[in-house]
Amino acid sequence: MIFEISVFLTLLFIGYISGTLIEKRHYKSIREREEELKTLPTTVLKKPLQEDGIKSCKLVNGSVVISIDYFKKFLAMLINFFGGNISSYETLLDRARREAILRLKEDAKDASEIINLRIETSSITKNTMNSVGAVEVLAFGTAIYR
Amino acid sequence: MKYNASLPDDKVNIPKDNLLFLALKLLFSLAVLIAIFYVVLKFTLDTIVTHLPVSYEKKLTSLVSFDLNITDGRSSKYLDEITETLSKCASLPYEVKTFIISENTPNAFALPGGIMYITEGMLKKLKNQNELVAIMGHEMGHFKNRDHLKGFGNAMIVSVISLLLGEGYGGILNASLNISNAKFSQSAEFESDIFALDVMQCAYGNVTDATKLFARLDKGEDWRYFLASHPTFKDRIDRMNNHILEQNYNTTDEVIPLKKF
Amino acid sequence: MLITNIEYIPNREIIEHYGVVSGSTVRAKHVGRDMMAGFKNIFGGELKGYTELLTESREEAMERMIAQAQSLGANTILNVRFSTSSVAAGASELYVYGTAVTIR
Repeated sequence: MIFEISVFLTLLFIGYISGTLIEKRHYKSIREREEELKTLPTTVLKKPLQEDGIKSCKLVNGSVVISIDYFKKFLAMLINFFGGNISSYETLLDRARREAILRLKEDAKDASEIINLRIETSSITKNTMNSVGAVEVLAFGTAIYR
Repeated sequence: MKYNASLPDDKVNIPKDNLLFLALKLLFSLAVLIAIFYVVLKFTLDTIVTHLPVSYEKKLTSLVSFDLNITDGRSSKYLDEITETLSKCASLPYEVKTFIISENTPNAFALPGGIMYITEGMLKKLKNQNELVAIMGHEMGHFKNRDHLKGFGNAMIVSVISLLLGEGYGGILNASLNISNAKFSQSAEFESDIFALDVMQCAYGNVTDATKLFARLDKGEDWRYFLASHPTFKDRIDRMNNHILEQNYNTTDEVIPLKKF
Repeated sequence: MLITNIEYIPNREIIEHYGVVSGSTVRAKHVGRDMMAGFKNIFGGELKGYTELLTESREEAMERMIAQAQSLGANTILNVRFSTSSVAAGASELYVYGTAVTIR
């Protein structure tokens, strides 16, 4: 019993520490790359910003699967009991979305713009408990080359 | 169209509060809720249990199967006399019958419905009648307090709470079920010890040597008894001595020697 | 085969269209299969194995869609969309679809 409780608390602690560290590191990388790639216009519009001088276009995509950590999962369970915003998953999805869009941009580095950006999100559930294990975000769009 | 290369505020989509504080806050609220629920249910169940007639107790125990198949219990006139003497002071909810079983481990236990068993091993350890009376008084305490039903109710409450909370809390609730059973069981033992002293003083006019048996059986257990069903002998002896002092019970009368069983 | 998710190719003319082509794969998305993912579920971070797995499934679904378009004689697929839906017991279907056309 004491063994089970201490295993649980240890996992919780490890999850919190490593989750927070990995998240901080990831956000740093995301912000750096966003700053780098901000010169590449990306829109959700169906037409390019300028119609002239287009050489070719190509479907590009970027995807990532980000996993939850033990602490966030436990916190989500607690919030589930009382109701309300599951704030522990918000950073998960934010990171995954921004990472997917960054990978899409990196896939089309030489393009002059990316149009018709679409995002698909799906959850990967854990076998035993039907709770979220990880989330997958796919971003795709058309890269226009001039 | 001119493109303005700039980044939006990226903090709008992430939580503003520290998650750790949130977790602690929610845990605390949950704990408070569970505590209130537990206390209210326990109070209700205990009140019901103390007024439950004996027939229901017997029926309930037949539903919860018993794997104690004791067929070789024999009765003894000596024990019956003591049972009767103590019963006069105990005002028990039902009649109690005492039997001896030929088990060598020193033990005494009370089964729901009014049956008390003492092992031969226990009888061999006794030095005088006072110690025997203390043991029997203790077991009678369990009957008086309806401890069997209360323990059953306690387990039921924890199961209900774990059901309401759903899965995911399974491991923690298994742990708390065991801890709460142990706590209940230990406090029931303390109560029975006190009852034994009260009924012994009432029936025989003294509590001389009431704690001697425990002192002899004490092998010096330790903190591992946190989860055990009985408290440490040392704690039990201490509490009994405190009660004796408070109530100013007589500890100076001569001890009565044992008769034949 | 030209693939894009907008509704036209800039500076080109669509001369023929063949309707919807699609490709799909079904993958079991059980984290229980991947031991590393089990550990990662405690620590957090990216599940690179899963990212690669899903990228491969997507590429396979796209191959199937391209094969369909080729069999029709098209040289472009427009307005490509992806869809993921969960079918029984933790498996998900990856579905890619678009309009097959011939451009000039």
